[in-house]
Amino acid sequence: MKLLEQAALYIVGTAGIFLRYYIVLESTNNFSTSSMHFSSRDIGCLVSLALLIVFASAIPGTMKRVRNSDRHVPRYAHFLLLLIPQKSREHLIGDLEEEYRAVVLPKYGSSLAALWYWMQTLWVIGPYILVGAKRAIGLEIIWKLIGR
Amino acid sequence: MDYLGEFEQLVMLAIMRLGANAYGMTIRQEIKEVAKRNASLGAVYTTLERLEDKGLISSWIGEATEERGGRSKKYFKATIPGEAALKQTLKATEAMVVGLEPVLG
Repeated sequence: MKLLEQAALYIVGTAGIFLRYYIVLESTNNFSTSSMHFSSRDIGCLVSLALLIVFASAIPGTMKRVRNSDRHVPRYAHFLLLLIPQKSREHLIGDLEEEYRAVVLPKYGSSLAALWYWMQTLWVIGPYILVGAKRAIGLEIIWKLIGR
Repeated sequence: MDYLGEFEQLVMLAIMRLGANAYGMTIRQEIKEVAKRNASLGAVYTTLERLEDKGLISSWIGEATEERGGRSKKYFKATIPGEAALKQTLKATEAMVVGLEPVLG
């Protein structure tokens, strides 16, 4: 298991570094908003750092997680779920936790269950981010008008 | 009358198969086990919200359990317009399949 964890960390670390240099080399343009300026290097670093934190926190021993037992879900993933609209948040998180505790944890153990929870979190917030983005740029109205 | 999209059909069918036990997790599991399709809870919930907005399903709040971290369940049930929309969509699909049996098997 330890070897597997080290291999996973090595792959994630390499992917993060590759991503950073890919972004730096591929894009030389500067991104700017009215008050802030970001270079492509800054964005590459942030993305790779975020990737490392997300994946490393799913592996026990690589980051200290605050939990009383294995039955607690990964805390940082739980924070990401706050992006879900309030209307469905409570029920959706409840469903996710129920599946984690009742199905995944007994079947796969704590390490893989934590990884599963992280993957599910990213998959869960994906559709909501897409819907939010569509609304923000007005695509929702256009899609309705053309009958999608 | 509304026609349902492909994933909307799967969600509606799962709700009807599960009867009184249709909530997010069980709907996802039913689609995974019966249709062999791995859908995320986010996709299931955005579809459920859309169907509810159209009046094709209704929902009510159920009990909270320890397994769910004290959070309540949201149960779903197909409404009469929802069942009618599903029948109409399935009929349209069946009509399109007629004559293609040699190809589709």
